[in-house]
Amino acid sequence: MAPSAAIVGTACTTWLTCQDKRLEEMIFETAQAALQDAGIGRDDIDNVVLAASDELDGRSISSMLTAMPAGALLKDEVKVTDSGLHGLILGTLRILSGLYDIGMVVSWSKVSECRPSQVWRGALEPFFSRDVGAIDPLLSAAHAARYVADYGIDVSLLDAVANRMRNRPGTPDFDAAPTYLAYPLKASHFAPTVDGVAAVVIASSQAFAQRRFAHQPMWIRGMGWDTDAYYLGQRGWDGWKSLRIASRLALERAGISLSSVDVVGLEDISSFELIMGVEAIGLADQGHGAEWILDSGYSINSLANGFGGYPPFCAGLWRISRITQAMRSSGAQHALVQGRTGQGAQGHAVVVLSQKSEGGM
Amino acid sequence: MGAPTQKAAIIGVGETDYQTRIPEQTYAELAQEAARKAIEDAHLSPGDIEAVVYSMAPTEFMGVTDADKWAIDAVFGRSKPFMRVHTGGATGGSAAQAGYMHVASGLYETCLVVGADKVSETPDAQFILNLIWDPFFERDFALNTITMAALQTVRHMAKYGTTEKDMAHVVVSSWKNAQRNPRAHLKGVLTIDAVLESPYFAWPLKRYDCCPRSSGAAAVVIASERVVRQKATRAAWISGVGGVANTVYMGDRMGGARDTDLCDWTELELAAREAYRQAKITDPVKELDVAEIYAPFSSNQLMGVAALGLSSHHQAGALTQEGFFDLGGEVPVNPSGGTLCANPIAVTALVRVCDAALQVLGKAGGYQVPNVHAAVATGVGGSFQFQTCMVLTDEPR
Repeated sequence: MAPSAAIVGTACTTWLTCQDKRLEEMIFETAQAALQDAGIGRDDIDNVVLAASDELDGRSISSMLTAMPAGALLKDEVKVTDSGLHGLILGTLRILSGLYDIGMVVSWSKVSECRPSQVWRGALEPFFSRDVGAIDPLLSAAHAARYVADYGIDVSLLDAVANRMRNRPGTPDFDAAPTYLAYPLKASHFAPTVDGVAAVVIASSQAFAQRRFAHQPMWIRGMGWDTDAYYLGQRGWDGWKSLRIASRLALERAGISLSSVDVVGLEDISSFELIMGVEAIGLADQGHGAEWILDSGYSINSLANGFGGYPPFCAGLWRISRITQAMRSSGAQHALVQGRTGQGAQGHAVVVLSQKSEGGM
Repeated sequence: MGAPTQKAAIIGVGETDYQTRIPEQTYAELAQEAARKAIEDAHLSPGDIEAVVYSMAPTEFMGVTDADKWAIDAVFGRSKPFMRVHTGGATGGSAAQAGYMHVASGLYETCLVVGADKVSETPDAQFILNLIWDPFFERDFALNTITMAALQTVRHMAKYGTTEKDMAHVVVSSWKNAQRNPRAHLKGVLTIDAVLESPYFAWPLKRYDCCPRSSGAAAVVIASERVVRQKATRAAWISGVGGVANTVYMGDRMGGARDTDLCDWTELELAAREAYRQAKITDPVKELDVAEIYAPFSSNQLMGVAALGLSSHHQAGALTQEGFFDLGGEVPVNPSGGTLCANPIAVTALVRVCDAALQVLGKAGGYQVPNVHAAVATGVGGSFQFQTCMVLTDEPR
């Protein structure tokens, strides 16, 4: 029988700008906490998947240093460079292959020690894009301008969504200037970026038959990932197609409909991206995402609000970690979590979590 | 660890020529050439590819951080599941294994693994490779991959009596083999004396002991057993995989309390042990017909053959001089010429997988080893701390 996979332990940093620790210390502490959360030791894992960016880490092959604090000493280890959620997906593929039983997935970024805009500029190919300089948030603004024009959106809705997210109870205060970065996006539309590490321990159904873990499993019941064209102009302007594909596939594999999902965790580096997300996964019709966020009564990203501090690159896995912990003590049955990758959200990953293993992959 | 949920095999291989510079193609175009060749070799069309794994090591050599996402349209990955794998020099081996996981998981029937590099876009690759080290302490030691390998080689010489002449035999054999490989970057007739008289880069490594910096691309198509049967095509079955990571610190692999030894390539030994277990290989000398070992420096091949169980550490040099690993020898090693003759870093380990697959598929042309039933391909990265191993066979196991 083909195995299934579940999250059995997790830990993450929260809304942190960490000046007094090296990155590898943060990774070690978070990975160690995830193992403790699972009630197992490092010897119990048989593989490690890292998800990180050399360029954000400021070191070529940064996993040379970071693999060991993540628990990979003499383990089978691999790194992906798309997003934390892509790391979880590869870790899950390994479990589903039947060749691994218990794995660690760790993702991070320590943006307090780098200038992401310089990294984004280096992401542009040198023949056309680099001279244009269309990096995030300019790329995102170009898309937003087209969106506003196509759907006749009142741009003040971008302010309103950002304010709604920023003013959630318990969310730390950050300075948010209402100055334009690039029309129609203002600095205040963006979440404050922070350092972050997230670690997740996943196990096969066979592992559950052989040993005990500290928590009930949170099953990885569906997953989908998809990446669109490199050039924004080739992606189409009708929203995030790759997220539509990824979320539809994840839900199909999970064997549930969107209406069955109790918890949604979407990318929220900006109010515009959050709006794009709710439309792409089908919570709102095209052009009505902002109204849905403001008026539906659904508290989007209530368990993992990036407007309290958004950790680039690892945000998807960070969201998984926060939501997994919260779901253990809630009645929520299903969660849908998104991560993004690339300039202007070129690609997306979606994972569906469930309290039950029935159905799904 | 059990058996794979779904068996998988390599059914298509695509490679470009490997050269110092390929100015007539952009990076994305270079990757496309390999992707197209692999898909055609598999008798598939781009639309048949369900997922793509991209093999890309440090991007600093060619200077575009999102090289993979730039190449996505060119490699037919747009609007498909797509992810990039990066484990330094081992990247191609890790990417091949990640592609295998896509199919072995049962979620996909086909997966393209592809990548490219243009190492010579940077004027000094070793400057970039100094950046892999700790900025607080190690970078100022002038550490790069050549000096790193030199330190390791010195230890091998002290521990096992390895000589520079043993290493020179590896070089001569590799260059000779590469003459049969139309894609190899470096090839030709070298003498032992010519190798020994070449200038030192970092003692005991001389010019010819070191791999080149190459540009080029490579790709494989991995398919499920169902697709293989439907296509009734010859396949190189992925029968065993293994990977092991170790500490970055070389000193921790030399001290009295060490778990492993820097010059023994224990990481590869452990990775191979797992791959052999899956492939049911108990006597690698008898059961492996060819080995493609990622050996960027001549001394690494001596470490690699021992780690794979093809020799003892003490005998590796002598067996090399006797021709045990030559074409026509007991277990031919790197009949393609290996990494000493082509090193497009992002895909060098994938090239090892390509060449091992070609041997099993009987498509290696001038460097084909007769009657190959089982081949092994390896990859190494970081401070020789990441090792991968893949066993390919002509029948599923």
